[in-house]
Amino acid sequence: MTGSPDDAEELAQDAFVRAYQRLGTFNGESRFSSWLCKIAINLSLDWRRRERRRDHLRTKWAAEVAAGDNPGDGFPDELSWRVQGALNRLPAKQRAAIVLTIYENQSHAEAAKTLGCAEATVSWRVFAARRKLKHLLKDLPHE
Amino acid sequence: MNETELESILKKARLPEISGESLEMFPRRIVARLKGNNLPPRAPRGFWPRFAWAFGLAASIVVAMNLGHWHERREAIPPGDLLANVKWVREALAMFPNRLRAIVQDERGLNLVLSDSDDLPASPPLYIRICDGEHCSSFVT
Repeated sequence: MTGSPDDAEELAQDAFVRAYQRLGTFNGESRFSSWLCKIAINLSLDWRRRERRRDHLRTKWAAEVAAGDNPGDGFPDELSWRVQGALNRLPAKQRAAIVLTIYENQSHAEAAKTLGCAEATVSWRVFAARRKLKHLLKDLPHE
Repeated sequence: MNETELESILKKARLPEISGESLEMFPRRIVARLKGNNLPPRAPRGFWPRFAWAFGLAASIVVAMNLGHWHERREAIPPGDLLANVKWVREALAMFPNRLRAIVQDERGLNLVLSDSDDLPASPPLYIRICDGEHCSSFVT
């Protein structure tokens, strides 16, 4: 969600602290892990808005991709680095929808509960995100 | 690129490795933050020492009074008592391995009592419920 391991670790800490502070609001209707995931996703979305790094990251990643720079930030290979770059260029809510459905294996209905929106909204965001990702990653070799 | 190819590329991507040291320090950092300025506003100063004494005394009394009345007490557990949910308690224990001393639910809400270090022995959780007529408090330790 952040594209940065350091920011991800800090947000993960924030998520656990906030979960502890709001433990009294957990009513047991969902799994505890789902409730915690929702807190983490909302913190990530707030972080993006607060930091206003989207334009900066877009510029940064676009420049690095254009220059063909080597993978950085500890990514294990170029494909992973390119995919993370493409994900960073998505709008925050589209990226959240892709992360939940692809990497957390949530259904559209489950992702809608996590994101607090309608299932149809998640479906649209996934569709729009996948269309953009295909464009951004079109030059990657694929089988 | 079709949907299958995109799916394959996305799933092949791997996240940067998280160092073992980061993982080991992660719970300690959270506990340190909770002990600092980020303590929940419901925890008044001096609450925990008084709570420790009250809990010890109350636990002794309740365990003694509840011998032989366990089945009746289980039927009387109200549906809103989160601590009676075994699955939730196990998830909470898994979140703080060897670190969770107790979980308290009272009129102030739900609070966790954490150890400074992960040196608590693993043991089956014990559920205790104390009622004084109008108010009830639940503990898991």
